Amino acid sequence: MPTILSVFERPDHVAAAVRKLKGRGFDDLETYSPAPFEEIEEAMDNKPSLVRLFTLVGGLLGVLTGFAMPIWMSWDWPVKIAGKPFASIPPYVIIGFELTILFGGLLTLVGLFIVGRLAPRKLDPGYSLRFSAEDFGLVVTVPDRDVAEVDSLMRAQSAVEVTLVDG
Amino acid sequence: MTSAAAEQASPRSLPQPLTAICLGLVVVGAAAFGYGLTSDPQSAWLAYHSNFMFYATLSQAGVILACIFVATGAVWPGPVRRIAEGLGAWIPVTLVLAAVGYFGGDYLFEWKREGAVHGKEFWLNETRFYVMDLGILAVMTVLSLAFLKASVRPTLKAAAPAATGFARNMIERWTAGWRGDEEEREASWVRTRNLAPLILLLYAFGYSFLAFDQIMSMEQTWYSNLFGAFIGWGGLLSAVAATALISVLLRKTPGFEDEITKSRLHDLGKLIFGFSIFWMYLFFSQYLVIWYGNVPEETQFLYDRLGPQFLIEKGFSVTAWANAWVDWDWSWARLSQDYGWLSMSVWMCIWILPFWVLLGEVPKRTPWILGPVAGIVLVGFWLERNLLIWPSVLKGDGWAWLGPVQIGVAVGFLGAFTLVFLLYTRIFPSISLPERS
Repeated sequence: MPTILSVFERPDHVAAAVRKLKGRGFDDLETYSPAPFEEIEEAMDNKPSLVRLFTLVGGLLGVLTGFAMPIWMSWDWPVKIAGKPFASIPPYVIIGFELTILFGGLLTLVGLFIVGRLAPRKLDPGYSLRFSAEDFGLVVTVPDRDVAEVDSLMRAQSAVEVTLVDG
Repeated sequence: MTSAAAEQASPRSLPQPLTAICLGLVVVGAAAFGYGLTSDPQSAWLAYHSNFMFYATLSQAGVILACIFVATGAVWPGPVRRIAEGLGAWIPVTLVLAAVGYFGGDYLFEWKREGAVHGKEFWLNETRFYVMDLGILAVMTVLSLAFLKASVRPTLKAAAPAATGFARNMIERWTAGWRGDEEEREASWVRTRNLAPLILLLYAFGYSFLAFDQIMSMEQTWYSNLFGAFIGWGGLLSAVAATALISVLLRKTPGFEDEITKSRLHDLGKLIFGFSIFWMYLFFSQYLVIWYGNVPEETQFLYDRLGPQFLIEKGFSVTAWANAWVDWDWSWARLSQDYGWLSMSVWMCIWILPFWVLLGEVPKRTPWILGPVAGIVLVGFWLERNLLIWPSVLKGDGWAWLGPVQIGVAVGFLGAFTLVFLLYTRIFPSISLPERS
């Protein structure tokens, strides 16, 4: 199936074009923008990323470690402090809290690298360097019979250029 | 924003049943307070003081929220900023109420009645106390009103033709020397931008002193450096909750339909969620050192409020916790001592409930979930102000804060505050913003 690349100069134009394409039933979409834009994200309405699972696992691991480690240490080497029990909960809330954030944050980073494919094998065919500088790109894969329609549709949505990148 | 939309959202007449109800509540409150003064003046003044502190921090923090929006250049709030500013209409009333509070001082402050404990005479004496606190409130009132005036001025000209009577005179006086819409917007932006950081700093310092004086000094042997920040932060969270609640209530008012969007409610929900965690964080960081140190001078304040439940040594060991699940009774029994249940309600309303309910994205964007949660946070802060004030005077009597006079005074304050908010938002346009184009 042919892939069409449209180039835009403004994020709201991209968002409008995405909505138009989705309204026509073309769901195989990809957008490129130099910075994240809320309106494009809203229009794309992507599924939630897998990264948040990494955060959840990291946070739970962190709170577990944050309580288990000091409790084990206090019992392994008992020192009486301020007349409190050897292993008491309130001071370890802090360690549990901090390790939740630390582990959660670190695993989020790992998740970003894994899910975002830090070292891509090859770049998407529609991508070009200018989408990291000032232009916005919208790539859509459509059946052969719809190429002409999408071409005029994108130009009507104030695309500055529309090209066939594949097929 | 066209001026037509501003007109629609600012009907010049007060909503009738609501205004009458508020007036009725004020009458009930005044009667209850008057009756309380003759029957049980101590309870009447304690109720007065709790409500005074709740609405003082709430209204001042409303302006603080608007100042934060201005100082950070936030554009996401839109007309939500006007709602926060509306809370500030109560600030002059706070000043008057603080002066009236002088007459109840003997019932509230041990140091005023019997003299300060040795070593604190320099700080806890009438002259220093009232000159400083009323001075702080007066400065805050002047600056806050200057901020509000600078903020609404660019929107007033368009609203003038529809105004009548008192509002019209006021608008005409305030818009004297009109320099044109663009210039006024620019001038308003510069002026609010200059005032905002000053008001923010003075809130941090001034309300810290107010918290030390008006609440902490009631238990004059106890001290905490964090107390001012705790009260000030509580005020900010209650202002965010009030703003969210009013936004939810106004979301179907003509002119507001397209302004109180789901994403704005989402942002307010995020603020409540994060601020509530930080409120608990502040409490815990003070609680931990007091619990560890276990010095009577420091534990007294927590003991009067939480009861022995959270200060005993065995209660927090891992085995004791495990036992607690087997022998459930011991914890409930201790909670019933002193003000334990009131403390639990406060934690439930301000931290546990907002945390678990607003954790997800959907509840923050759903008006009928966000609104009630914001309302519960507000009730929680009203309870919290009672919890901070009552046990200092009436120790061990966990239900002293609740009674017909106390409830009467509370509804009186609620009616008066709502009335002042309604008056302010009806006189001044609440939608159009002095945005920089």
